[in-house]
This record gives sequence, structure tokens and C-alpha cells, in this order.
Amino acid sequence: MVTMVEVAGVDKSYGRTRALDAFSFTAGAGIFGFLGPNGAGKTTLLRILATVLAPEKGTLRLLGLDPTRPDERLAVRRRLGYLPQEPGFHRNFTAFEFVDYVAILKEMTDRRHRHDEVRRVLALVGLADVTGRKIKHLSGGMRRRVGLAQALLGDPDLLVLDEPTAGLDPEQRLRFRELVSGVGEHRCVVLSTHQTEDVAALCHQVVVIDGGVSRFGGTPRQLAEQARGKVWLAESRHPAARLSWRTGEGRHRNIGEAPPGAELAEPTLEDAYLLLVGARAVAEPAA
Amino acid sequence: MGTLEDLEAARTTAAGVPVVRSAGWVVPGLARVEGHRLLRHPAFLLTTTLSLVMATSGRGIDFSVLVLSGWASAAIALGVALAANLAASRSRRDGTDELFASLPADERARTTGHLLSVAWAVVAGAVLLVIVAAAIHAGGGPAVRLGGSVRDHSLAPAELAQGPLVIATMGVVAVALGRLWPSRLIGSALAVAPLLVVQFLGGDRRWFGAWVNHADTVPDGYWPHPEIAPATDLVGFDVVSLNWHLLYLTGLAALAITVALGRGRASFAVVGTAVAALAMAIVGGVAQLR
Repeated sequence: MVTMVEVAGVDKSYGRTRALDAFSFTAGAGIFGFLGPNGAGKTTLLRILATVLAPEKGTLRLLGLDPTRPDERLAVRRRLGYLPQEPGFHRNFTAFEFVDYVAILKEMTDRRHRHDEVRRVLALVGLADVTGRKIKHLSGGMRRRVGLAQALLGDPDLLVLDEPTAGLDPEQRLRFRELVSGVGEHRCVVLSTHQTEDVAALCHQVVVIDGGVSRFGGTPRQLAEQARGKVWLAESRHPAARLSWRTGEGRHRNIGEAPPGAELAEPTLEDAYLLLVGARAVAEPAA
Repeated sequence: MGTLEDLEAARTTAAGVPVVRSAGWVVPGLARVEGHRLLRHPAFLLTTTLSLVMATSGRGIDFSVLVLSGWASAAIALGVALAANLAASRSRRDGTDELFASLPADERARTTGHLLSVAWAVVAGAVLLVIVAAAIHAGGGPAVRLGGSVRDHSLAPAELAQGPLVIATMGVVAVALGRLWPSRLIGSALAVAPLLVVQFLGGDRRWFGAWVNHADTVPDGYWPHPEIAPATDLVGFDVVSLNWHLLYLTGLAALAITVALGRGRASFAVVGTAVAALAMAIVGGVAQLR
């Protein structure tokens, strides 16, 4: 496998708060998901991968290049697509104008080809019918898709998506999965999400990050297996459970050290994530 | 799994569209887009309309000269200041800086694009000037009242250059301020402050006549002060002070461009250029008042 992202021992702090602590991670072609609660360090890591932030310590190689060197950083940016957590939009631009503006900044200066490419990515995200509508008149989900469209410009080799499914309705999320799964066949897609279903459905590899360090790295199936034997169903909340909730069927799903004789349930990725991150995931929805 | 080069080749074909990239044309491309937006901005359209109304509705023989020597363009300059400032501060106000920081074109390229976009307004102002000049010439040409008689007036190049230069200077100053401080208030203040000063502080509008759109001041206002050129029958103006005014405007524009592009780069060249530009602005500004 060609290593497209290599992060080794990366540190990043904001004042006294350490956002990333000797974080390491490698990725090739495929889809890599980051799960973690708010403040876990996901957005900081994705900003570093998008060359927006520089790490304080450690080594970083993107697409075989060193982004701390200006010339190589430029080369990385030419092959990068990035959707920030809060991308911001020029509200008085139409969807077409905004994506076209980003395309110019991506050095696509041939007007005819650029416009073809803008129409292509807007169609990919299902916005072909609203290209002429001003962004201020688009819904939150549509704006998110405009953000995704600009990230897809030029078919980048490395796609960094920070919470790409936030604000999308179920149908749009399915469409997003279809789109990104196609991209991830040949390119490297790194995304963070709080939708464990998206990770389970899309990602080849998942990393659980908390407190700036990696708590788990492996396939979604391996992550789910972390919770095997630690999820059980009962008529009520069990005192030994770290987390417990009443399901739609009226029974309680308990997560923790299962008592002897408990009715074990098939673990999900979400169970394992909750087990790893614990109360922080409940207190703050994972982001 | 292939090499990165294989992936690059696949990328081009997977999109179905050849990705044509050219770093050198980013700035002209940006300038074009921003220039078009500037010309469509309500502030520009409003002040241009106002300018046309001013140019066509003025009374008095002398007014035609005043219009051609930049008085009407000054109104456009205020609209350009507001529109250019809002455009230059847009990325920080709208929160797109993080996204743009991940793109190949850097902040300097974007700033240069905003600065060059002002050229579209300058051209528009110059075109308007040509149209107004044609209308004035069709009506008998610019003339001034001298004593009891009306004389033809010969406009010096410096007089004709003043209007477009005022637009350019106000535009680039607005861009520089927009890149430094991302607030809507800055552009609004820049556009409105000259009018407020004229209206409430300037009294006889001499302030505006001296520092924005230069015109000789006479006791009863800001009208041009004609003089008969020696050994000719043509009436002209003392353009020496106007030349100093153009130096002041050029210095101010150069200072704004240097500050906008040199932000965060305190090199010897940047500081030296800024000092030279400031010196031009001060020398021109002081000398124009003599």
C-alpha cells in the first residue's frame, strides 16, 4: 500500500491545553475515520493534515511530501481537498460563484474547464438545480454540500473532511456515503464524524481519539469487537454498567463489565466507542 | 495499488475533466472576479448614478470644468471604497480564511487580486469621464467665467487624471484597511467620513477640495479659480498645486499597497517602500496646500 499520510509523534498545544500528544497515524488509499468527543483533538489533527496548522513536534508527510517546506506544502495543497468543520461561506455568492472562486484559488484558471469542473462537483453533491441560488438562501444541509463540492474540485488525492455529514438528512447522508466510498477506492479520505453509523458503513480504518492521544486504531469490525462480552440486555439498568439506556423495545442495553449469566448482545461500533471514551462521550456528543 | 504517479493520472481521467492549472494566472483570475463583483455592488452602482446626476444636473459655466477635473469621480470613489473594503474583509468576516489557507493560492495572491480589482472601477470611472467630456464638448466645450466674459477652458492632463486617480487611491486604501481590520464599519466609515467632514466640519468644503478632489478654492466656495495663461488667450488653472495633489494621492496609494502586501513581512524592502510612499504622501499633501 502506498502511504499517503504519515503522522509520527505529532504534538500541538493551545496555550496550556495539549490538543495532540505524540499522535501517530498512517494511511494509504481508503477511508479513515476519526471518532472522539468534543475537544479530543480531531479538528486540530485534520487542520494539520490540511496544512492549515503546523505541528510543534513530530514528523508529517502528506502524499510523500513534507508540508513544513514551503515548496512541498504548495505541492500538497495542489492535490488536497479540505472541508473544515465550519467552512464559512460568502453569503452573497451563488453556489456556483463560491465553488468557482475556490477553483480559481486552486489554480484552475482556464475558464471553460473550470466552469465544467464546478458544474461537475455541484452535480456530484446533488446541487445541479440550485447552482444559481445565493448561499444565504440555501439550507444548512445544502451549504454543507456546497462545502463538500469545493473539496472535491480537481479530484484531489487527499480529501480531509471535518464532520462532513453534520446537518445532512438521512437521504443526503446515504448519497454522501455513495460519493465518498467511490472517491476512497483510489484516494485517501480522512474524515471525522460523530455518526458512528457513517464510520461503520464507510471507513476501512477507524481511530478513536481522546485527549489528544489515540485510544484505538483498526477496522470498524475490530473496534466493535472491543466491546464483545461487555454489552448485555437486562430489564433494568445494571449497577455494574458504565452506561445504560432503555431501548425502543423497552429493555436496557448495558455497557461495562458484564455480570455472570448476563444476556450478552452483539456489540456495535457505537458500544465499543462508548466503552472506550466513557462518560465523556455521553456528557458531550462525540464530535 | 499503484504509485502516486499512477494515482495522479487516474485523478485526471476519473473527473472526466482535464484539470488545467496555472499558478501564474490566479491573480488576474481573482482580479477579474472581484472586479466584476465590485462593478455590480450596490454602493458602486448608487454612487455612479449619483455621479452621472451630478455631472448632468450642475448649473453654471464653471461646473463643466469641475466635473471633468474629478468632482463627479470623487462620488464614485466613495462607493468603490465601501465595496472594495467589504470585499477585502469578506474572507475574515465570513470565516472562509481557514478553507482558503489550505489552497494553493496564498493570502498575498488574494490581496493582490483585491487590489487589482480596483482597476475595473478606475476604468469605469475613466469611461464615464470620456462620456461626460463628450457631452460637454457637444454642448460647446468646457468653459469658465472670467470677469464678465466666458472663455474656453483647456483641461490639463493632470486635471483629467485626477478623477481616476482618486478612485484608485480610495479603492486601494479601502482594500488595505479591509485586509487589516475585518469590520464592515471601516469601509462604511471610509466612504462616509469625507462626506461628513465636508458637511459638518469642512464648512466651505475646502477640506474635501484639498484632500480628496483637488480644486482651487475661492472665497465663495470650491469652484475653480481660472487664470489666463501667459501669452495665450486660453484660460487654464494653476496646475502646480494639482500636480502636488496627484503626488500625494500616488504616495497614499503606494503606501496602502505596500501595507496590504507587506503585512507580516517587515523586510527592509517593505519598510523602505512604505517610508518612501509615506514621504511622497506627506510632501505632496503639504505642498498642495501652498
